[in-house]
Amino acid sequence: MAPRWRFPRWAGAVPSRWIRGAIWMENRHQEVENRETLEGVGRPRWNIGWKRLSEGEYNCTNAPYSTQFYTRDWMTADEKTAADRQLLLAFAPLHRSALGEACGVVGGVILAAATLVLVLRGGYPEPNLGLLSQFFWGYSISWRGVLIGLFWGWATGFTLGWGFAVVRNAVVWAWLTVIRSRAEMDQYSDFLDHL
Amino acid sequence: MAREDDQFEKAIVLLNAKLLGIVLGILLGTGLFLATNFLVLKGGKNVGAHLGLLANFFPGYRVTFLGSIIGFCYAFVLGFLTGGIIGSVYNKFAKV
Repeated sequence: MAPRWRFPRWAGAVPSRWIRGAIWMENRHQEVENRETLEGVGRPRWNIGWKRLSEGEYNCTNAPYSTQFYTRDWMTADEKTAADRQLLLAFAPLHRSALGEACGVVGGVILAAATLVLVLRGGYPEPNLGLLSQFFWGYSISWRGVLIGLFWGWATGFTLGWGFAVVRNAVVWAWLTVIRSRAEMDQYSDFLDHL
Repeated sequence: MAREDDQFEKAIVLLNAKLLGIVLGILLGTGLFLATNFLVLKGGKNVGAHLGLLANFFPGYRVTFLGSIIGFCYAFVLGFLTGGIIGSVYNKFAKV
């Protein structure tokens, strides 16, 4: 049996306990709200991220950064059915290495291709891409520079893509933290009334 | 409980390669279009001396209004290809 690949916590996955906590808080809030509605007790509605999510604003067609989500192939049909698709879509992290690799490939190919064009044309006047040697050690407009440019383009692209994924995952995590904090505040705002 | 936790940790975002390509294409194309026209409107002795160097990679591109439209097309294609490749490669690596 192939080993199960788990998205590691250190790779930026949103801690599941936060998601579970927010779900619990939302359910709890709904219970309180329903009870208060029945009892005729007025109370400001809790209208933050999870409320919007529960109303279906985040779905496969209007998600801001992706139109799909993916669960591992080896997940059983039962697991896939059980998973809350909207929650997975809303909070699933970007794969850092994958995005870094993708951006790296594009960056490397673009820089190598641009260098190759200049090498083949020849006699290219200054200023040209050779100025990149200020940042990319060993780079020049030459056949050797094509290979070195491929490497530096890949390294730069990888760093940018990886960094983007890290920041994006961190922002999602911070966003969840805020949601959870607000929900907790809301939950216990009337604590003294029950004493 | 543990199973749901497991599911949340397994889920990752997939990119829509075509959509990403179109978005990047529009961004790059619009950026080059605006930059070119900004220099055209600004005027001066040697209009767009540096931006005009893009003609080495984009044949037909000039720092003129017509050139900005040609540049938009080139940049859109470049952005579309870039986004498409990023999306495809990301999805491949993310599924490994």
